[in-house]
Amino acid sequence: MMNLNLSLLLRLLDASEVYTDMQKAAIRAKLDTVSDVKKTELQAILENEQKVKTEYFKKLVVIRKKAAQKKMRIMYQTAEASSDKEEEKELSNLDYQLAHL
Amino acid sequence: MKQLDFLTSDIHQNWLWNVKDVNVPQNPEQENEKPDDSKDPLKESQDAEEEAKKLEDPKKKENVEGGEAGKADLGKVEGNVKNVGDLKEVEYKSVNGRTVEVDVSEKNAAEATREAHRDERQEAARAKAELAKEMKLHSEEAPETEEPKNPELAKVEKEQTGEEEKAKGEEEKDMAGVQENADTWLKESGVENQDTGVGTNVG
Repeated sequence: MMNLNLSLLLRLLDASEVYTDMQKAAIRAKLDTVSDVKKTELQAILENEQKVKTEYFKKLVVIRKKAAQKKMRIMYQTAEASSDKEEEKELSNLDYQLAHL
Repeated sequence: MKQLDFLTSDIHQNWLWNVKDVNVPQNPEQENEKPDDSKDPLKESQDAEEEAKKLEDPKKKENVEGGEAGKADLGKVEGNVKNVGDLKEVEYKSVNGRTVEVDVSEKNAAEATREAHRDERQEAARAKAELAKEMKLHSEEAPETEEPKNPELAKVEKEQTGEEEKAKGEEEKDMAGVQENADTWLKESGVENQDTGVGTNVG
């Protein structure tokens, strides 16, 4: 069972997106009339909301980092291949010129 | 003998003298081309000159050299004079009471060619400028195309989009559960049914 932390509960309520602003105001106004068990339940719900959001953003970070690394690798390989091709072409031209001197 | 008589006869001698004097061409076909003596060649030349002056504006002058409109104009002139060549290249002068043809074709042709070439160059430059202007306009109008992407990069981006959408779907599913719990809590806590005294949206 989670420990009730009133300060944390109020901060979680402020950041919450599951309640409308009117609902949040009503909760704040009547929080004194709510039992500690219910307050603890509310804290658990709001903490879970933040956990879901955090997980989602963490997933996004992993996905994007991975994609960025892949892109960088591809771009590097492409640039290298292009450079090789250019050098090869240049060498071929030089060979041709030498052969026809 | 009859032939000899004819050759020595006065009629034949007169005929020979006349032939020498007027220089009548012996070829019957050429004879047909002989200017009609009944017409005044000078007058004919003046008429032709006037006709030519009418066509003298630069555009028409250029056309005389071979343009479509020029051909039409030439056709008109041809109707009035015997030969287009006469119109452009021959001048008639009176020498010792006789009308003599003076060939000015080379002089006229050279001048006309120079002018035609100059006009052609100017026209070509104008056309080129117009074309360049039009091409520039079209290039400005054309929508900017994106630089073709590396297919591997595109594949990575597609994968990334797919994974992000999948994560978003999972998040929405989880949030739906959170929302359901939050709504339930609101009902069970009795806060929703109480008169809170809050009448406005504070957000």
